[in-house]
Amino acid sequence: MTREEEVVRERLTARRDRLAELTRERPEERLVELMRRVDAALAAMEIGEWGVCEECQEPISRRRMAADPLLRVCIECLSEEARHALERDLEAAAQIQRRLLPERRVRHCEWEIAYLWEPHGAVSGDHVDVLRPQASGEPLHLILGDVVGKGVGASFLQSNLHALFHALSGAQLALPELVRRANRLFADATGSASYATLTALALGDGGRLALANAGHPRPLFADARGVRPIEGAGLPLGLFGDSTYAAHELSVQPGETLLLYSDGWTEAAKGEEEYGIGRAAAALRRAAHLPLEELLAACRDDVDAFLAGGRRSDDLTLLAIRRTPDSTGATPF
Amino acid sequence: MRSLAQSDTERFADQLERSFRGGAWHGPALGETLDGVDAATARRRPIPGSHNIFEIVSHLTFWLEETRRRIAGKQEAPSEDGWHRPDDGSDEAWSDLLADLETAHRGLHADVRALDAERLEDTVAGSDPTLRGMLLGVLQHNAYHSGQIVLLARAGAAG
Repeated sequence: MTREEEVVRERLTARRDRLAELTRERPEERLVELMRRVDAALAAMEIGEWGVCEECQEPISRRRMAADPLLRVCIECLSEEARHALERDLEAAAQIQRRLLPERRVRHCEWEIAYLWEPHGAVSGDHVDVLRPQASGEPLHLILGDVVGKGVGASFLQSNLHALFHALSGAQLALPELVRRANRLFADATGSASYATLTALALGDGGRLALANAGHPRPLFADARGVRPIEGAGLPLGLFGDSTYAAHELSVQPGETLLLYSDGWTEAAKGEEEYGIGRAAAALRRAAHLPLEELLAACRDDVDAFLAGGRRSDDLTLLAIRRTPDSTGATPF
Repeated sequence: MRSLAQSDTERFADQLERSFRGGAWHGPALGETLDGVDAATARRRPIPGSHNIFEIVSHLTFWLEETRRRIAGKQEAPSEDGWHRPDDGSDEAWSDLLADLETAHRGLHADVRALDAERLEDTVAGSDPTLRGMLLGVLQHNAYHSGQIVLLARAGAAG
């Protein structure tokens, strides 16, 4: 049994125990049926048939099994009715996810913010969010994250991140504490097999910007000298409940731009060759003078040109933050 | 999503890519300095007695390839230092040289990414006695000549 299967088995066993308790209290048919399905999955694991389609005996994709360990047939063997139901569910999930997205363009004090969000499929595992201050003097928070996996399973985790950051945003926490608490909640909710990388920003006055990184690709900073990555990283959210995080402060001058991105940008690959941090930095350097929406499009177009017609294999999200060129004055963070 | 901790060899590969393509600490990377430089500019010798851009790119390409040879196990120091006065400074020769530079960088980047970190302490010929020292030298070498190319391109354009 693989480590992945062991983790699934532990979860299913815990789920079965919980269902057994519930059905003793409330013997509802739907709970009993669910418990039968969990039992069937555990039994299939025992005899090495978990993840094998009951109809055609072919393996079901690992991604689908990770998203729903109770699956018993592959997509090809689903009935037409079941396939339509799946498509409807996927479309509903996609609509819900789109409703959770922030405005595409945000102007806050001396900052302008824009993002580009392009899922690989119907739904995305990338997480982008803007948390507006709930009291005067608080910073605006920005989050760009990427949960493990793709598709519906990843989108569930993404919506969990959305909910917990919004729940924490009113607590007036310093950035490292905000990320620390989010990590603890995410770890409690998901178990150690699921995790998310993210970069969180707090935008203050006078060009002061604080950045906390939880295992996410390094943001790129464009100033008059050029473009370079901002180093520094903590552990991803959800791996260990007791992880702590540090904030790095940047002093951003008017006209300078910070670009956050998911690995769907830098890790896009054409055969064995990866787009990479160097091409990404060069693309941003060429586009750094453009209005933010055009900058984002230019960065996206550059990776697509590199792929030369090949399809991207991951969700892509780019988030650009610029201190407006007419910003003056400096007040404490 | 790739693994979190960067090994020493991944750091070197990252720095090589950034010194060559973009994201260099000092400003434009080598590839960025060459962007838009045509054969005529590369041939021009705005400072009498100094190397031109064509020769510098040829020299850089030689050392990227030499580094690959040493990673592959070559022990003896080279008999030359890669300074060649090009016989043919044509547009075609210039684009071929840029393609060779790209190939040499891409190959070295791939070699370093695939390198076992323990091999960084291997002894190699040359002024830096280890692979680690040699790779650090390559990074400095790229940066040094990138600066020269910027100045020569500006001087050539002005002249």
